[in-house]
Amino acid sequence: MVALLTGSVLNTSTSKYIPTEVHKELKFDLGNLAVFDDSHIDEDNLKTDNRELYLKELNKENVQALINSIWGLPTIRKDEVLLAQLPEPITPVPREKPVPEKRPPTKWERFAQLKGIKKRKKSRLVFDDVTGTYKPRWGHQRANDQSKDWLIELPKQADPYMDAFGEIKENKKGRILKNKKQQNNNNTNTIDVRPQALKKKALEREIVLTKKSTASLGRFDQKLKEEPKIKQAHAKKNKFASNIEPKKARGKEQSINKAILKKVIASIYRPIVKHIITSPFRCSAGALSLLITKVELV
Amino acid sequence: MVVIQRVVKATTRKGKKVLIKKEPQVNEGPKRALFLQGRRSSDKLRRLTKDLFDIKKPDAQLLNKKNDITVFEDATPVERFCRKFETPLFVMSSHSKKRPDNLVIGRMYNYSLLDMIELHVENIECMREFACQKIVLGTKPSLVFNGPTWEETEELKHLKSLFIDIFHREEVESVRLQGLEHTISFTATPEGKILIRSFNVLMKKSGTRVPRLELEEMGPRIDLTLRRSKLPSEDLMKEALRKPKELKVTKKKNISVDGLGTTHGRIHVGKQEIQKIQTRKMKGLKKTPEEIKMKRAAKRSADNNNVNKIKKQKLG
Repeated sequence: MVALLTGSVLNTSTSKYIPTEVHKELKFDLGNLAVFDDSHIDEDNLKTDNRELYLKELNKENVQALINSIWGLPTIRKDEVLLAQLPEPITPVPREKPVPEKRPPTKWERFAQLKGIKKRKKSRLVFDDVTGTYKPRWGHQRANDQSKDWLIELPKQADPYMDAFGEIKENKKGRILKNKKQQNNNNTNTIDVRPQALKKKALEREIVLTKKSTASLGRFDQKLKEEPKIKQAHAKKNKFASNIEPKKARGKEQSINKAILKKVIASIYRPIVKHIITSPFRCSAGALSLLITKVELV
Repeated sequence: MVVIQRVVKATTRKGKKVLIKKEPQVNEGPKRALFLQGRRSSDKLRRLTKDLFDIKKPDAQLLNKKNDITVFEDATPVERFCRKFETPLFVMSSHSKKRPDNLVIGRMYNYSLLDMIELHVENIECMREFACQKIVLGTKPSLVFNGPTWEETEELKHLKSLFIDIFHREEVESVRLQGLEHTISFTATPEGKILIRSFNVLMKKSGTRVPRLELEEMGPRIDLTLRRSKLPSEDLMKEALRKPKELKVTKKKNISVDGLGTTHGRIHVGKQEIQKIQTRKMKGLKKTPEEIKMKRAAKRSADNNNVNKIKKQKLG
């Protein structure tokens, strides 16, 4: 077994205690309470029966060194307990979830930032006039609960047959709905930055476009009372000339179709003609003239 | 692959709190570990799982049933379990003819697999076999890594990071000096084995303020060998290691601490217009009208002299 000494005996005084110094080159990660020992491990020690003892001794040294460095850290006393303040961990440990994104400020938060309004912490308990004790500001058994009033004083001008108790309930429901609506508005992250005028113009244009998107181009759409008159769009209607025409009127339909046919054939023959003209081989003028006349005839 | 989850809205306040807890946070608490089984388990693995679970308690979840999962082929069932139990770490044990006494340790990032390493459990001796005083549940152990090979291969580097992740519980700013009771050591032998030993630390008197330590072996004795591994891609690891801005320590400028411990600060005072400083008026020191006249005359003559000098220079 390799002899392992925990450092040299420095104490000049006759100390009956075993020294605690460790003279070893070790790397520490005090943030994680870790010590890294890079020294070479002798294979022979691990193969023998004294393997566990060797490991124990090795670890004892290393942990002693770690304790020595932890005891060397700055300490604070908290609640009669001595705490050592650890530095930042060196070994990087990955997070379990990504870094949270900063959500955009809500409408109120933006306003408060502009005005410089700061949050003030309110106490949970408030003095309740009815019972004369302190009760929670909100929630179960709250102080100054309006809904628990057994008597509601109506002002002089109020209608005596109105349901005042019901009104309180209705108001609360209204407030809850409003709150929910405002929360939804805050949750949707789209903050429209366009000025009001532009928004109005964009909306007007959208109305016009949607109107025209029907088959009848908005002719039979139900109009609102105050809706401005929109210029009526007219659909393009294909007019078909008669195929069975008297000889005089035959020209139009015929000429249209002829023109189309000419175009089609020309598009087939044009590359051939081009090829003939540009090709290195000479072509008989007769053949070429034939081709061209063919196109012209048709 | 990003799996689009149906947006879960809470109907009760309690449900809302649960959802808020699951959201990513700036400061994360201790990582929970999930212990599960593969197609078949062996006696060794069962004892090992029980011991590791005992060490990792209360941040651990133990599943007893067998699962038809092969992690290296398809990790999605494990990802699903980890999402359900909110455990970014998992330890899966499986036993087959081809891979006997197999242990896969891995971790998740944002509910998807980050990395995992497969180990072969060669030998295990349970905590029960060591007759010694056990430690209190939940103590943060000190970790010892022996051997130069921990820094040599990529796999061992990641394994070291994994071990630290599993056993270090959570990041703390301060530690009770008397509370360092548990130490776990990981030794990487030259022939490729990893030996895990766990000790109970006893502090004895020494002549100095620092106590002398005695180690008593208490915990499981585990001998492992490396098998396969799935290491994370560079950019995913970088993303996982990213620290939020809130945790970045901003150093205060112009403040220094000298050797004796006194704090020194530097204040930058702007340029001072000495002529325009408002000072106390002392009536006695006020100049009389004669004195002002004299001063004016002296100034005029001085100016004339200067002008003559410049004229002389120009001419000369």
